[in-house]
Amino acid sequence: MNSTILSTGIRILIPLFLLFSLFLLFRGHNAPGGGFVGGLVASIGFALYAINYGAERARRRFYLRPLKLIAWGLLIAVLSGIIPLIAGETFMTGLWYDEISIPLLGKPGTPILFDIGVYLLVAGTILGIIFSLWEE
Amino acid sequence: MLTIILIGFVLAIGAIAIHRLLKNYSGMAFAVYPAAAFVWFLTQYQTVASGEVVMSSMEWLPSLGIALDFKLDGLSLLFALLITGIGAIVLTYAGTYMKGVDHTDRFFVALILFMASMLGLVLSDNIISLFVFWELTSFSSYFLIGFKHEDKASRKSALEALLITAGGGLALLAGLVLLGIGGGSMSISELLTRGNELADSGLFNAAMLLIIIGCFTKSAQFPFHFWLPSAMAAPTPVSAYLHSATMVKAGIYLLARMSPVFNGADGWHATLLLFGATTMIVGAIIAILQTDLKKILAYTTVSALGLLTMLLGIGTSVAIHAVVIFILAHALYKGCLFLVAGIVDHQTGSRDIRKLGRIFKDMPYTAITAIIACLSMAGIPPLFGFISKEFSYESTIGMITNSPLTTSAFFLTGVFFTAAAGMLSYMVFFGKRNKLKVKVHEAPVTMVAGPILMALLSLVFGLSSGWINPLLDQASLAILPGNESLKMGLWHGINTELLLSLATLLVGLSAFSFIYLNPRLMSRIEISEKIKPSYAYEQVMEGIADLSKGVTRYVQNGYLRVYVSMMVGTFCVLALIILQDFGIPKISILWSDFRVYDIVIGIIMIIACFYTVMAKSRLLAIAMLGIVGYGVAFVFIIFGAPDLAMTQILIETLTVVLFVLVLWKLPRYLIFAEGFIKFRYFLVSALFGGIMTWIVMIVTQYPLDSHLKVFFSENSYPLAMGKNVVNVILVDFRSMDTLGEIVVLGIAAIGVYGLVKFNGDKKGGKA
Amino acid sequence: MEDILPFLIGGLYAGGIYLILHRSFVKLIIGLIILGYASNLLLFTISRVTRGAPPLIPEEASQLTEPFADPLPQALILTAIVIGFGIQAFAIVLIKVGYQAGDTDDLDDLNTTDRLED
Repeated sequence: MNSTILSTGIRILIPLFLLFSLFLLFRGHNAPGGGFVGGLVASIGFALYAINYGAERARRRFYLRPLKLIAWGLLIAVLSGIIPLIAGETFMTGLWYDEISIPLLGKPGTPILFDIGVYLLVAGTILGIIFSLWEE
Repeated sequence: MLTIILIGFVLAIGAIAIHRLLKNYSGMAFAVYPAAAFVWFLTQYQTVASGEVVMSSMEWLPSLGIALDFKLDGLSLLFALLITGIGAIVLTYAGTYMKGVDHTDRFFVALILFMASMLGLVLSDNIISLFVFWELTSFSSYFLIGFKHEDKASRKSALEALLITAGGGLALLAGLVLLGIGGGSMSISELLTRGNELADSGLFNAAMLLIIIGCFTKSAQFPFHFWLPSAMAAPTPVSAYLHSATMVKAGIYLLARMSPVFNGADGWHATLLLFGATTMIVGAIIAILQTDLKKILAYTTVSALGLLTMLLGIGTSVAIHAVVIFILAHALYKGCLFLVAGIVDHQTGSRDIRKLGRIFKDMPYTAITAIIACLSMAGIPPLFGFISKEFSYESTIGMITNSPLTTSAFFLTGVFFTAAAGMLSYMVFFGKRNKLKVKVHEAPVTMVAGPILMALLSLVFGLSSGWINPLLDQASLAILPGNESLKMGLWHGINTELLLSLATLLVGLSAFSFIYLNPRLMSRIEISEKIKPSYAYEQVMEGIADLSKGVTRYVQNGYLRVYVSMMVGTFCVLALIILQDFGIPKISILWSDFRVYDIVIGIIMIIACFYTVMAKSRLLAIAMLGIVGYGVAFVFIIFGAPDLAMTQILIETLTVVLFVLVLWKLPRYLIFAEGFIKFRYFLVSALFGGIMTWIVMIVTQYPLDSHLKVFFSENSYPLAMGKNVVNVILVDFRSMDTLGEIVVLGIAAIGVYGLVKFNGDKKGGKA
Repeated sequence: MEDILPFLIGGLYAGGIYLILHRSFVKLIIGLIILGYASNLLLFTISRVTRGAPPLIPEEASQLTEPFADPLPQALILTAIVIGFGIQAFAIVLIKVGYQAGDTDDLDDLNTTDRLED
């Protein structure tokens, strides 16, 4: 598949898709959005790039390793469950740090960390599927 | 006590590592465990002998009344001493016996596991933990019988033993549960005092029968006896330990343990007496027809177990005395004889009494040991077996009914025992000639020491039975509360028992001479296959296999559409049965409530769905599928689920992309179904769709009371600091579930990756 | 819309089952996807639908006020959609690999492993 419009457009669109996906991820706790949707949006940008330029190029250009993304996502998600254990709570209790509120991102807490894990894993899953199908 | 048992389980796990470390000396190292346990139990001897009971308790599942309670009374101590004492001997022996055999580490794992389970079994004071240990012994026995797993016969025997004992185990579980319900307690010591409550509950007979079945299978009573001779496929130390001294007596132990509850019931006495006596005679007769040393021992063991059951069935004071004495006597001489058989096998390479002979001079220690044990088996004074036989005669003679019949049955068994003892000693170590081709040597001391010790104990207990008297007395009290105190001795004066004993010996010796002089005649006696219970067992097993094959062939025929039709059809029938109570729901469409875009979306979705189904080309079908998906997203938007709508739209786009990516490599639509078949498919799916519609309408007509909705709406912000309640549920309240879901997702991606990569590699290999 | 949802669900179920009953592999997957839609909608509908009131707590409030849509089924469906996609992708790849290996689109040609030998 090779279309001029897509190949020019996608270069500009990828950062936009990424930004938008991060926006969705971090607003997810208070408004529609979240890790699942964010991860999907993030992967769509790269998927379009891969469809246009080939998976191998997408992989090299952005240092993407979908299986590693999955692994990191899972690790972060589990980590967000273990942190409360260290703090003396039960596994996966939500912990919040109330003192500060980062602009745009909101208050830091383990559920946000968990959502980041979901985001990475979903993006990795979708990209892994698309890449392995496209590579053949 | 819990510690002792737990150490055993831990040791079983670590046995592989220990074995790697110590190689050929591991047997002796493992023997330290039962030996230490033996010493500990010995320290309890005085306490128990004075009539006290040692208890130890730990909660396990308190809500179900299941606890790890352990109780050490006379009966338990008798068994515990046997298990640990013979266990130490057997482990030492096995270390040498198994030298050079592959996978000896596995052997030790199973053996130690068994040892710990068996200890748990005899010490448990809770019916459920008793059952757990009971099953564990069956399992470890399965592994030990099937130790030579390359051998088909060995695997078959192992499976046979497992199926029979585990099948009986199921009956036992049912029986124990009924007992627990009827008696209102899970604790054995409490149940033993609640016989009356059990009788009142009406569960008495059922519980009794089921427990008896469980015990009969474990203790190889006729007609379940055949697994025990087959189990001789196990290495000899195992046969000595599990299949003669300990595990097979688990059934006897439980019968004895439960005796205080059931003793006195007619069914109890009649059943135990009948089956015990039958087993006793059948086992004894078959024993003398065998030529394999281990088979002879196995059938005499069956016979001995029958005798024990019969004595429990008699249930009088003296009969219970006879039971405890015989348990000890039998464990000592039979364990010893098995080990001797192992030595003979190990040193000569043969177990066939037709080949063996005149090896006394080559292995004198073994021979003398065997002779002492055989004398005990034949019941010749001053050995312990003689005391045991005296008591057995006393109990059969003392019976109120059926005394002559039972006595003569026991007489017959005694005769065959004597004959078998002759076969095992005289024919092996003296006999006519030696047909072996090898030069025979005495076995190493690690193997001979154990049997010698056991044989000596047979002698010592015979000569000074006072040493063991208090323990056996307590054991008999546990079986029959308030039993008269036991007085053992070699000389009771000239009485009927003594005369009968002498007669048994004489007839037994002449029977032996007959066998010895006419070996051909004996080998000609064959039992028809068809009257053996093992034949019935095989028939049943084949029948089950055939039945399941037939059912599988019919049900699992490999046609997806048949499976789907069956599932859908079953669902429809069941749903219709339930739905007929609800009647047809009222369709009350308020047209005034309708908005134009609602109707448009609904109609578009239906049409798109129709075209997806009917499309002749794949591309059209996928495009239409996309439209249905976007329609679903619209429904989510309309009803206040923006998160869902977003996800649905993105996923829908990805699905279409995915299909298009793969599509050009996919096959064309093939049309297989035509005309009437299509119509049939249509009917099935229309019926299913209709029923689903009906269900949804009925469900939505009833009010919904959702506590969860309220809970999440109230607590989402105060507890979890989030204003998007859906997201809060996903990442906080139910984050465990989400974690599971993302794991599934990751696995799916890895699966895709693997499929593609595997396929690519295969092609690469071809090129 | 509330009143026509049951019919929509029934229609989707019927279409899905109809496709699965055919012997074609591609139809099987499309049928499964449609069944997925139907099930999601079923879950959504039987927990009652509320028009235009997403479960988002307003800026100044600390809890939701009626009427609002039930958030729990939404959370369930959200993960169901994504997991459903993972499974679909797997199934699609499976068809492709199966097609390349066995050179067939006919489900009946792929059932040899399911049959007992006589």
